[in-house]
Amino acid sequence: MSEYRERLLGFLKSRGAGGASALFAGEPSPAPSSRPAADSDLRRRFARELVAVGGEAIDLAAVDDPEAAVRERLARIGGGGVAIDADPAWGRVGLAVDEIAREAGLDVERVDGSTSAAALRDTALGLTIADAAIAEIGAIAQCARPFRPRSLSLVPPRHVVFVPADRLLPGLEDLFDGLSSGAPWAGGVDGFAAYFTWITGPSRTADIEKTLTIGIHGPGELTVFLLASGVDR
Amino acid sequence: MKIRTHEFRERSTQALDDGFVRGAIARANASFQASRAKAIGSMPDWEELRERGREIKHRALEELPRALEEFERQLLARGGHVHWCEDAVAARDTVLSIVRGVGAKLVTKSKSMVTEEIDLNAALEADGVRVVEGDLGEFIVQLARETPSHIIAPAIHKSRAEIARLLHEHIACPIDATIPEMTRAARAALRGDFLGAEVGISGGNFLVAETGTIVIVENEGNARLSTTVPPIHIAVVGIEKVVPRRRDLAVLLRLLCRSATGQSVSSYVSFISGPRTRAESDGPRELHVVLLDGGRSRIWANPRARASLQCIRCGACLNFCPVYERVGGHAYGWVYPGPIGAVITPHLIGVERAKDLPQASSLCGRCAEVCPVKIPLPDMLLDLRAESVESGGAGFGERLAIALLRRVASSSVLWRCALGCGRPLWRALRALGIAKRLPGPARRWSRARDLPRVETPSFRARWRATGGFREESS
Repeated sequence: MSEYRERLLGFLKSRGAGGASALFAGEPSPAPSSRPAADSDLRRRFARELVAVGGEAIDLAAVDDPEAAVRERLARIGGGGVAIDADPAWGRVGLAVDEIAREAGLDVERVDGSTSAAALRDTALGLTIADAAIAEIGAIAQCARPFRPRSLSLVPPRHVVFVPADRLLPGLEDLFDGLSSGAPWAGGVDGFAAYFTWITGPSRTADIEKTLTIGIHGPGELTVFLLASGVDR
Repeated sequence: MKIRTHEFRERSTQALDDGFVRGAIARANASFQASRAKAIGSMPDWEELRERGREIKHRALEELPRALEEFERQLLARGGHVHWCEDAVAARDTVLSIVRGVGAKLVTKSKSMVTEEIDLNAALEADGVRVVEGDLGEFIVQLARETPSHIIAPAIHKSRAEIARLLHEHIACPIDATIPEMTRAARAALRGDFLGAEVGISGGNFLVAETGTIVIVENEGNARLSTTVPPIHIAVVGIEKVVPRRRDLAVLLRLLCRSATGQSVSSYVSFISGPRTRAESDGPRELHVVLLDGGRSRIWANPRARASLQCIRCGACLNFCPVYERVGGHAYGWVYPGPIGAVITPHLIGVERAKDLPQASSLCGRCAEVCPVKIPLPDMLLDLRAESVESGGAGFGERLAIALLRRVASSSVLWRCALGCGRPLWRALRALGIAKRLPGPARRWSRARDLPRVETPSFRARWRATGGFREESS
């Protein structure tokens, strides 16, 4: 690789480090009190955490007409283009999102991983399904997928995400463990996701006089619909 | 970044005279402190979490060579490139050669202290490359041709009016814009650059050995833009950032975000373990990790200083430091301000060039109390002071004064005598109104202070009269 690589590693090893293979030794840390119990009300916890950071959470299990709830939220955007990815799980969420979006007055465009960030520049809304969600911190997680542009959750000024019930995890440890054990929601090649992102609420900054301002480089609006049922079983 | 650590005395004096900066930093610190308190208040096992964070970083440093090798092995297996750089020059040259190799003329950057350390922007600009800082605070500081003054709040020293003038001048934002309007104007101004950049450069909050992952924590989304849109992503990261396991991040991210901004997690955390895969047509096709030593292996080899490499750059020690709060980040004269800066700067650039920094502490210990990975900062500051004195860093006057104090303070007769003479002398100084203009070496001490009033009766007299501690219970 490089001459300095050998010199540095040689120096570090000469000082007694790296002899034993203790790198992965020791028990993994137990989860702290901030991780909710797996049998607690994870939907409520997720919603509370997300709302606390300026996101919007709508539990579709708690509404009489989920389709109307989604339509009503999308209609509030007041028109424009919506980009929906080619996630195969759309067929299992039990909602005809294209149709609902059209009824809400939006122009529907289907996109996939070949769609560039620049092509999404004037899109009013990105619509996606979360690969996982973490109740502890109100976050959704998305891996890089061939069917979803990485910038769909980033470039349009609004992002609406659906979280399938079976992808809502209690805490941070559960997400890392799921990624390591190849959970059904974990994307990637050979069970390894080379890129994934957590999103917790809208894009924010407090760089001017520590005044919190929502919506700098990422979406200023983040809405999460918690689906009543799962998609992976 | 140009090293101006030797100007600490002048620069801190100037800062003390700057009412705006003092007020702004005091307000920012109060707000940082309140957010952190709120965030950890709901965690009864916060101290336990800190201990685990310390253990993880400690173990990672113990196994540093193996952790770096494993990180490299994993990243190479997924098509990434790893560059090992001894110093700032090597790191700069590595980045320059990658940027030149693709003939890039526009680079977007996300916030990174390490790239400040190697003065990357100046080198790229000298090469004819336009560099755009994406983080709002960094963008403001770049427009002002300044350097960041805080690890996580780069423009904390600038007023809203100053920022409005800068944005007005450079991106035609109305001069009377509100903060949300300024933010929107910056978003609009930077959008085209983000979408057109040929190379994206980032730092990295953590590297994971087990999976060859770069972890980037942010709130704005600029790091995501810089690391997903351009065809080439370069991450410049210090060698001390590597941790063994991905699961370790569950502990470290909880500590980092709460300690930094008081959030339970930041808006975005990205985990990047390679360039785009064959199945994808999105994301960077090349991923380079530039590993910087830059003096870190020297710190690592020093058993009393090694723990300073545990730092996860949350900035909490700044936010709680009474000295930083009064002099601001720029006074420290290099990249890293505050208690952690006072410890690592002398080690990174040489104790000789930064000998005043370890003195810039009251040793109150708050930094060590809030450090999420329990770095014993005050002990390390004392070590550096001792080192400085041993190498002849203390002047004749200082040595004489300390020798006198030792003599006087170890004799009760001399001590009482000194107090007896001192009280009238002190009163006279105050009465004559020359307290602000003490002569000789005392001047530096007195110019920014009001001499305290001499209390009557004296503490010792009251102690005798009341029988000491019994006063409270009587």
